[in-house]
Amino acid sequence: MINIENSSILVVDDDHDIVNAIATLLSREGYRIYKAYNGLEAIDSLMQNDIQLILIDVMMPKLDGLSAMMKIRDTKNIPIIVLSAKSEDSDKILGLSMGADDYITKPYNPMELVARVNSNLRRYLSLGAADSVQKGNVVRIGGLVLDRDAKQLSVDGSPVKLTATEYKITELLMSNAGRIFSAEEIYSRVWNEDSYSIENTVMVHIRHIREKIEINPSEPRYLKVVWGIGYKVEKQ
Amino acid sequence: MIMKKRLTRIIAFIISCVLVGICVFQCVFIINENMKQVEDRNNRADVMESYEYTRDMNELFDKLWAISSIYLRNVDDKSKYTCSKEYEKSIKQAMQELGLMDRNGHLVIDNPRGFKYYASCGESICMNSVPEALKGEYSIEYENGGVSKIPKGVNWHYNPDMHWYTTNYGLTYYIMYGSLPKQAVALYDFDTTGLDSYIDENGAKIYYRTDGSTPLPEKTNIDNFSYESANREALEQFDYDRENVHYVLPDERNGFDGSGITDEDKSIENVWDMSEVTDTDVYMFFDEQSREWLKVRKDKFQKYKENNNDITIYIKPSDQLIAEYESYHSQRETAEQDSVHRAMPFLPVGIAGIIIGIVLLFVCGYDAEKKKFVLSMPDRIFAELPVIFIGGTVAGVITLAYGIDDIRRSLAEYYTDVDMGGIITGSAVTACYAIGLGSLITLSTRIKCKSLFKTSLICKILAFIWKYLKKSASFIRRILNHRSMKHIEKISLKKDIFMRRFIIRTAIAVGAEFVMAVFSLPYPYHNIEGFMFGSVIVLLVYVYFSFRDHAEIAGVAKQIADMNGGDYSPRVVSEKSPAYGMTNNLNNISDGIKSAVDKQVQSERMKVELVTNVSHDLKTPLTSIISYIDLLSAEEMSPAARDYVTIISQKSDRLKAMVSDLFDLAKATSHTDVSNEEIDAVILTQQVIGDMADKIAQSGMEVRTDIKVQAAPIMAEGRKLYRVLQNLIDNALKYSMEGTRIYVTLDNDDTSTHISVKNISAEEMDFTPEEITERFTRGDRSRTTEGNGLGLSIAKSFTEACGGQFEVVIDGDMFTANVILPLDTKQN
Repeated sequence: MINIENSSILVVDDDHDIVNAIATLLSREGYRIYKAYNGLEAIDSLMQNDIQLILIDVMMPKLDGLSAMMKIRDTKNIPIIVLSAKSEDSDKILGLSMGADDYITKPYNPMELVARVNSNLRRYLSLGAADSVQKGNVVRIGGLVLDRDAKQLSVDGSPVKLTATEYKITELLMSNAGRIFSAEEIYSRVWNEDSYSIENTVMVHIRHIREKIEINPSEPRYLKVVWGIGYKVEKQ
Repeated sequence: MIMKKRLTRIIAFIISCVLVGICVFQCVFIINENMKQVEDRNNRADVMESYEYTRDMNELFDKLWAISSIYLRNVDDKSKYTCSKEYEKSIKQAMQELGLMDRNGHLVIDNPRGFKYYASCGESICMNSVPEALKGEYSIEYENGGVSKIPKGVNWHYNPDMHWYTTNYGLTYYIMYGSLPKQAVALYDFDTTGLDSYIDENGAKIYYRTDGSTPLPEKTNIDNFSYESANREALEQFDYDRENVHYVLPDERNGFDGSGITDEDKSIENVWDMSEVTDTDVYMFFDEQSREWLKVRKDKFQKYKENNNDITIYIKPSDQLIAEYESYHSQRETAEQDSVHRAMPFLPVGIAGIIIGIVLLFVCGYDAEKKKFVLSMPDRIFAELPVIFIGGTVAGVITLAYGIDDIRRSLAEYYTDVDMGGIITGSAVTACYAIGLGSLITLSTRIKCKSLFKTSLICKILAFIWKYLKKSASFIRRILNHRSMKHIEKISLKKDIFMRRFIIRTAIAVGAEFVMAVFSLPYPYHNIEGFMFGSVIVLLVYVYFSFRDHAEIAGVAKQIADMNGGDYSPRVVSEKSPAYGMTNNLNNISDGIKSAVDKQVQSERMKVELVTNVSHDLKTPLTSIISYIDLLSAEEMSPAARDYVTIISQKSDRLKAMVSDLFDLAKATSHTDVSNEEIDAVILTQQVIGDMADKIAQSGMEVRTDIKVQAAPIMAEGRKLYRVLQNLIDNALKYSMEGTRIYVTLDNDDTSTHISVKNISAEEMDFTPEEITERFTRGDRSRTTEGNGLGLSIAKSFTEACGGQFEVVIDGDMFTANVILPLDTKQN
């Protein structure tokens, strides 16, 4: 079993400065860094080295990131984080559907980048251990693990402290992943009261939950706002 | 302007007619009353100026004239006759016939009214008063054969036809029209015993002799004397005149062709009228004694017109009559003045009526709503009619003025207690006034509308003629044009292929009809059906070819319609088709439009691509900057250096946000990516407020939310709308004056939902709503605060991309942003 601290990360980008910056950033966290400057180099490097996570840019000469990712996915199961200047939803959806585990837009927040790398690695590496725990009343969505018996929520393995109300909301949404709940419905099911003049109560709670479980609360991975309709937890 | 309304004018018209009518009626009644008094007097027998007085005076004058002219002329001052015995006898007989002499030869003068008179002829005088006393204004004064004045108090008409003449064969003939028993007498200066005679048309007994010493009567009265028999007698005499031609009057006895008489020696000639063969200047007389016909030339019998210069007649009425007349006359004058006074009060009434009428002439035809003069229904009938009406009414009034007395008199026989004549005359005059005024009003209206001539029949006729002339002129011109086109501009005609085909087609059809008509119509009994059949065939063929051309045009029209609908695909028609040129042109136009549209779409796409590329190109170095700043900040450095790094970090974050916003904005304005879905604006607003709760709390501002409805279903893209509201609230938080509240309200009307964000600006807002929604404009010109100036631009663009309206209202320091989104009615 490889420790997270000993993990090797392949950083692929045609911009040397960015690769160097990321390398410096991540090596500070204790990761071993391999560098590649196009898709072909990335595949070569992957063949030669034992790599646990790939950060790959999309627009690159010779072989672009998405094509390289498809090739990598033929043989490897490791987490791939796409790092792209393309910030549109369609680009993100395309990247994620082609096998990416995460999608970070440039210019990225360095802290967020590190957090996401950690999160993905943790999930990848603790997968086997988690399996053994997975029995009884446990809901697992991506890196989120909700233990109903312990009434505890963990994100990528690390436990999160939630208030009672926050836990109830999270449980409701996670147990019905993919379903959209309106504020009234959440209120009436969590508070067991009729939703009368609920104002912003639910919204504020949701915001707080998001701040606790999401790496970047403005671009949530799990707890999403469906504007004008309600809230949901994405089904992975 | 008075009397603006039509109804007012109609009432004024009626008032005018009524006023004039009142005046007319009163005047007519007063006139008729006076006339009646005059007539009553005329019918009295005992006063001057009456009919009987006039008759008696005339009779006396006639008698005195006859006496003077016939009797006094032939007697001396001692009443001894100065003429021959035969003439004296003739005078006596005539005077007796005239009733002026008894059997004893004494004059008889009937004078019941006691007129004083004097009559003289030369020296002979007949009188009952001296002439000096008889002169006066009431007297008849006949001197030197004529009257110099008309006497007062009598309706006397001097008859100048009284005259006489003498002949050279002893006849004296007096004509005396008037009151005497006979209108004429004939006196003879020879013995008339046993002579033939007849009574002429004036009643005088004319004697004649057939020996040629007196002429045959010139004037004959058919009743009293038969010219025919004398003619016949003369003619029969001619039959036996052996020295003359044998004249025959064609009749039953002689035969109509003269065949009844045979005489070898004489030539026979038919004569209808003796005057044809006798000299018209000759009288023919048959002498019974000698059994001979005598011819006497007419000029042998001379006729001398005599004058009456030696006659003087004076007649004067009695003093009693004169006194009575004078007193009556003064009474009459008073009565007339009275009647004028009685009529006086009604004159202003009539004048008022007429003034109203004149005012009406000025105001008529005004339409209060249109504020101008307009024609109404009666003003559209032919203008000649009112003109005729006016002429008729004027003529009618004049006739009535002259005939007023006759009308009164004839009706007075039947209506003794009512002045029916006055009623009828008054009504007629009033009616004339009404018709005349009405006609004047319609004419006046027409003049004001400048359509007097336009509405006239003459104009209509002229217009009709003019139109017809113009039509034929233009027709001729068109034919000439066609010819000149044919001769001069053959090419230009060729270009208008439809016209050419039409002309050729029509010419062929007409020619075919003509040929068929020439060959079949001269034998109508067996070829009329053939002609009809042929005509139908020609018509069908003509219609078929016309429709074919029409179909070509319809094809072109369809192409145009398709182009209007956005279909720019080219059409293919055969080169022989008349629409070939048009279709080609249209295809070219289509190509042009299509390429223009394509170009625009492409340029839009290129714009987005450009922005995308630019933002990518910006992002890559930005990524490096942010990364290295992060790395740098982990290094050991002096506090000043750390401050600098912090500033660079902040600014690079802002740059990052700006690049992102710029990209979003470019995409929104290009409308390339819209995915609207059914959402609820109420929930969305609450979500945004909830989402921003922490930020609001940090800012220290108070946000008051007032959502007035339960739900506001709309079709929009939630993420975009979220950005809109987020931007608005962000702005409000950023620029509000400290301690003020921010109001977020949501309300629906029938068709849309209104979300507004209101805040009080900290700075004075010296910009317009238009300026603030433009890109890169910020509330503070100095750009001291954070923000990139894209917030409101993005809000506006995103709202519009969601199908809504975005507006900014600036009222003093209050800044209001309204987002108006159409409600999705399907959802409920």
